[in-house]
Amino acid sequence: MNEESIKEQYDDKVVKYFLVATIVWAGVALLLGIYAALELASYKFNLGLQWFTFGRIRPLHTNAAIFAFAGNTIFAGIYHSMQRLLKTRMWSDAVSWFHFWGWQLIIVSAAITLPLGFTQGKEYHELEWPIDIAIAVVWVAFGLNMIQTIRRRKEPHIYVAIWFYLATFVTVALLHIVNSIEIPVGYLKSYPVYAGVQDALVQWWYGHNAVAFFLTTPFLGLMYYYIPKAVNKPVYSYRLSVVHFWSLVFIYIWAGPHHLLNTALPEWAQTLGMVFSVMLWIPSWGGMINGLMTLRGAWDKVKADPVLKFLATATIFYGMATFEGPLMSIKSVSELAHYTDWVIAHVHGGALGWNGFLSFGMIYYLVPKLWKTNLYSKSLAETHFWLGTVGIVIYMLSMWTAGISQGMMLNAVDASGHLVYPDFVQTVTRIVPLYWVRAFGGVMYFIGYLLLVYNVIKTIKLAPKAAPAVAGSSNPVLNVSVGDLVKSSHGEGPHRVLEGMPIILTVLAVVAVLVGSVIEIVPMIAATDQSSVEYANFKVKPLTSLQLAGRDLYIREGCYLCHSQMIRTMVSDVLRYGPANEMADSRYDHPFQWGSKRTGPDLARVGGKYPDLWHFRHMLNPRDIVTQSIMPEYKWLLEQKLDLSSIERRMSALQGLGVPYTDLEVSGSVEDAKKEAAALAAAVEKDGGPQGMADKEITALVAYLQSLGKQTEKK
Amino acid sequence: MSKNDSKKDNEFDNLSHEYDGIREYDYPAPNWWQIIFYVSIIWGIGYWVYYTLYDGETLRHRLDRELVTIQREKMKEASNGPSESDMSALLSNPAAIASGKEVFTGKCLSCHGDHGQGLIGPNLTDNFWIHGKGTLTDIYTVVDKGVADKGMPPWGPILSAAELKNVVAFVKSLQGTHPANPKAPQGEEIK
Ligand code: HEC
Ligand code: HEC
Repeated sequence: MNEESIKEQYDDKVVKYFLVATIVWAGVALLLGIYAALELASYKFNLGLQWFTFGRIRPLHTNAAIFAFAGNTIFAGIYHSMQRLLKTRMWSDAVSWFHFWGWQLIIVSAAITLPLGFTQGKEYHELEWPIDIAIAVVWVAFGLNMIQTIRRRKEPHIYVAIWFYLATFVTVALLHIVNSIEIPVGYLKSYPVYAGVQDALVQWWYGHNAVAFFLTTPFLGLMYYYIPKAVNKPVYSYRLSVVHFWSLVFIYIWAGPHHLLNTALPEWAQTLGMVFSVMLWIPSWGGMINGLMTLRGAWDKVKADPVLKFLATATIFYGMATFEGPLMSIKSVSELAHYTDWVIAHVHGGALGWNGFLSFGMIYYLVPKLWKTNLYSKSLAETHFWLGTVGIVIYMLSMWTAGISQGMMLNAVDASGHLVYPDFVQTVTRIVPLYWVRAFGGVMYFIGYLLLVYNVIKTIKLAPKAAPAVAGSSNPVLNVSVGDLVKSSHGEGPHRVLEGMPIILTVLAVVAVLVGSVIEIVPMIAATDQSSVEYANFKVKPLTSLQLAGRDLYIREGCYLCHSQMIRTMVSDVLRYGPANEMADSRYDHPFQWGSKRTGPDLARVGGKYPDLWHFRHMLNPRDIVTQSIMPEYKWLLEQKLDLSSIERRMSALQGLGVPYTDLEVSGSVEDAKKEAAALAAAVEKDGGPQGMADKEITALVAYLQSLGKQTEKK
Repeated sequence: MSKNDSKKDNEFDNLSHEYDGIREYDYPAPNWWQIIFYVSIIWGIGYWVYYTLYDGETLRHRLDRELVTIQREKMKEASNGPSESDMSALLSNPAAIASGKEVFTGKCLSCHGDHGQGLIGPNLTDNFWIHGKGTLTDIYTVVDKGVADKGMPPWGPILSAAELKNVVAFVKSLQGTHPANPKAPQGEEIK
């Protein structure tokens, strides 16, 4: 069969669909991002409506950006490049379409459930258990399609891009499944089997490696395909590909604990996370070097071609973010950076710069190719590039400034041992102007995106009438012996031979990621099993049924997206919030709620700090109490009836997971909750607070807030 | 890429494979890249071993050590807490009262009402007191230490020494004012 007829057999239709989905969801993700940014600049954008509050919009934004925008980019790029790199049509059209529609359905279900408050309360893993299962099924279908295609390839060896695709598939599957082990307690409600510090570790092992294996490795694969294609030059260094691929895959997986520095996570694990993050810097830069050095001597082409400009700049942002990340993983830098907007600056350098720009470069490259025409307007693409770049720079500069100045204010302690800025809200007021600037940067980036949409529509309109699609035909499985592979690798070393054995290569990648995973997670689970010595010195009271119901509301409203519950081992944290948290403090927390951002103060010991009535008034309108507050209003909590219908099932599930509830507490959970709520509401009423709150959600939430920091006692 | 292009421009252009037209050079990784990589690995192992297996100071030890120093500073401060006469001088100092009022508006109003008439916390204008007898030092003690579990925060850690004294003087100056909507008396009447 000649080259041309092979080309005609590729399934480009599904690539086009993924590409269009990428463009559509990019718009949604960006708009949601701008909206969330405005909500922080002014609380008024929360509109006083529960579906639009920051705590529910923010997960929608992150899920849309990661799984919808970046996800569809990856699939479009993989389906397009892989068929060509293997000279083979995708294995099964049916599976391709199942993958496409399944994924879009998952995104739509996220867009419906998250604003309604169905969430697991774990970042980037918010979607509830039925959707988790759907994700696993669709992901495995994608992997199967990929592996079956690889087995039927016409090239004996697989190119570096495909190594990255394979590592992506297996690792994301592993991460997702392990972090999804949860007990359903309703159609759209579940508790993770892990509690407290275990849950923290598993979640950030997942969370960090979602960045690694969803936003990095597949995009590196795309970079390895689209940069040499677009510039039409050989890749700079094969051996660098080999070294940086394996070191990246091996080292990345260890770095999760850098999200938990100076917390109650045992120090050996914190230190592992820190040192592996630092070691990760150079393997990451291996990818950047290979990308940029491929362009060496072709900078005039880069200047002239928006596709290359996007791809090259994406690679530069990748290099920046992967230098910044290791830096922020150093314990003392983390003291300043953690919980602040510096982290937000960091992720957006990655998301807008690396993922966004790589995606745009790929779109500008692919749309004319797939629709067999020329790009409608190069100068519009050029304008898009500059708007986007300036937008990102504005975004990052404003959030760096905001994060570093707030971090320094919060950590400042004077010579006499007093906090220099004891009032949290003082530090917020200082950075609110920067929230406006950030939103402006986001709008610029979005306008650039609109130019892309226009350009793509115009380009597609220019396209000649499409030839009728060619039906799929599947190749036989390629059977090559090791001897043949050795021969066809022309003495280029054992790794070349391995590249002819994709299944073994995949298995080795799994082994590489399992090493770090097992070494970190297994001892932690063993050391904090419920009978362990780590907990022996403390007596921990589990939450009452009313407090538990309140905790579920805390999760539903996404309070953890603005509030941490983890006082770190730092003087300024201790002076501000009370004694540093111990592991035992979150012993029964399924899921843990340590948080990752302090837009508001830490709440780990807020229990008893204020009278109940204070919380009622504060939740109704924070500005009645703290005039400068940017916290949203939660009026509906004072209006909606508390739903206790599944509290018994919830308590019994937790009992099954090792929370020491007695059978009596489980069976009497509804009665107990009602009694406790009535007493609390009566007291508030007596103090002149709102009336008739006994059966309202607010009462449960306040009961929960008052329990924070009160549950643990040293034996 | 056409085959004509592939004239070897250097010794590293020696790989035979081509994937959808993509070829690979085989330049060595830059020296600085390799050196930093090895150094970071050696440093990483050394750091972990020192802090985990040897006597690197743990974060909790460091915290305890730093807190002890701070505690010592605070003790010094506490030992020269203000006396009744110290503060009564402030009552006739309009600048001190004005500064006290500012603190009150920022920190106390949300619980004690805009004129001290009481809201979540008790009325501060009447002559009923839950804690002490309403002397300047009594008020100072409550404001400094707070009432844990009753929802009166301790202000000692938050306010500067001068602010603390000024706001106490301001509270004292509210005595006998009769703001609208006062909260019902709490505590004992001091005649
Ligand atoms: C947009 C970010 C944001 C969200 C979402 C948010 N808060 Fe806040 N919260 C703040 C800020 C800022 C403050 C500090 C100013 C103030 O007290 O209002 C604060 C203060 C608080 C305080 C007082 C803490 C203290 O020590 O003074 C409590 C309690 C609180 N929030 C509870 C909640 C609960 C419960 C939720 C979820 C229902 C929530 N917050 C959601 C931003 C937020
Ligand atoms: C979060 C609400 C809250 C804030 C803010 C607050 N207080 Fe209080 N305050 C209370 C409560 C509640 C009590 C009553 C304590 C008790 O019942 O023992 C109280 C008691 C007092 C008392 C003692 C009254 C008595 O009858 O003995 C004084 C004096 C006082 N507060 C002064 C202040 C000052 C000055 C500030 C600002 C620097 C302040 N409070 C801020 C809630 C608050």
